[in-house]
Amino acid sequence: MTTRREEIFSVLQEIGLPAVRVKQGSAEVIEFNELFSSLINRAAPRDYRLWFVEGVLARMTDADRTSCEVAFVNRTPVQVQVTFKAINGRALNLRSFFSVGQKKVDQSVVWVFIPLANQILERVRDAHLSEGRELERLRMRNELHQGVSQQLLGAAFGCKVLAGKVATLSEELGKEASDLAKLVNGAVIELQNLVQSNENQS
Amino acid sequence: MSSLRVFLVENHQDTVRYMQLFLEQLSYKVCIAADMATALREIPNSHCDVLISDIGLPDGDGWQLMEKLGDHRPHFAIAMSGYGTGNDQLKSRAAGYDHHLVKPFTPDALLALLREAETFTAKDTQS
Repeated sequence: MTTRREEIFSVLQEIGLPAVRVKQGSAEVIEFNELFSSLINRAAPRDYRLWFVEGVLARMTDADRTSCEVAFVNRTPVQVQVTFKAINGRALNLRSFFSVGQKKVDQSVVWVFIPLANQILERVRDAHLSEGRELERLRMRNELHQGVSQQLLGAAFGCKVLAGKVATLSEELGKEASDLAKLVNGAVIELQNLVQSNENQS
Repeated sequence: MSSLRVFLVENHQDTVRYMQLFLEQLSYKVCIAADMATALREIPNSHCDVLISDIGLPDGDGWQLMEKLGDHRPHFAIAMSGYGTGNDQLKSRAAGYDHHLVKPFTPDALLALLREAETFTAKDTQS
């Protein structure tokens, strides 16, 4: 029969998160899942009880270690960043957080490590980026259609009206106003092409 | 000089203002509405020859407008829209518009269609 604790570590293993439970004062390892083991034992000593001290704490910045100590005292969760070395030698950044047992008798701490870059997270990140790009494209499309197009349309008709009125006052001014109307017409046509290419992409 | 009566449905103030001035400068008689409800109320009594309507209206769209107008549809209708995909153009045709102008368009493009409307209306009157 599996205990609740074992179940938690098993679930964390299944969803791909390394996890370890350590004693609160000494940071001695009590239990861990295979992912944590595979993460830590390449560079850590053989005695698994020291894995956390030498394999995790040693890789933290002084500031993060201080944050952990404060969290221990206050019995609050905390997040720190730990960098491990992957098999291929590349740096593997993991955001870790731990929660302290709420019962006074439970003087242990569970640490869960969340990879900042793995295949799943990269896919999620890519999906977010792609979604962001699509939202931005839609925003620009709406802006183009509802904003710029509409204003330029009004300006094109306004210039044409102006050119017609000015032409009755002065031939020279009328020609200038007519040139202005042509200029706006040119902008309208350029924007038409842009709108068209945008429509073709969607 | 044109004697065509044009009903313009558009809710963008600057656009409707300058389009109206432009059309009046060319002697068209122009009525305007800024939304579908007003257009539905006023078109039947306006005796207009040409309807120029934006597809995106605050209280509906230009396609619904045509459908709801029923027998009161003008002889010639032009849709205007910021969206010019094939589907939009087909929808405009299916709704009964003779043309679908993609915004922004030049005043000359609109004028060319109004000339066509004049010819169309003249033939319609003769027959």
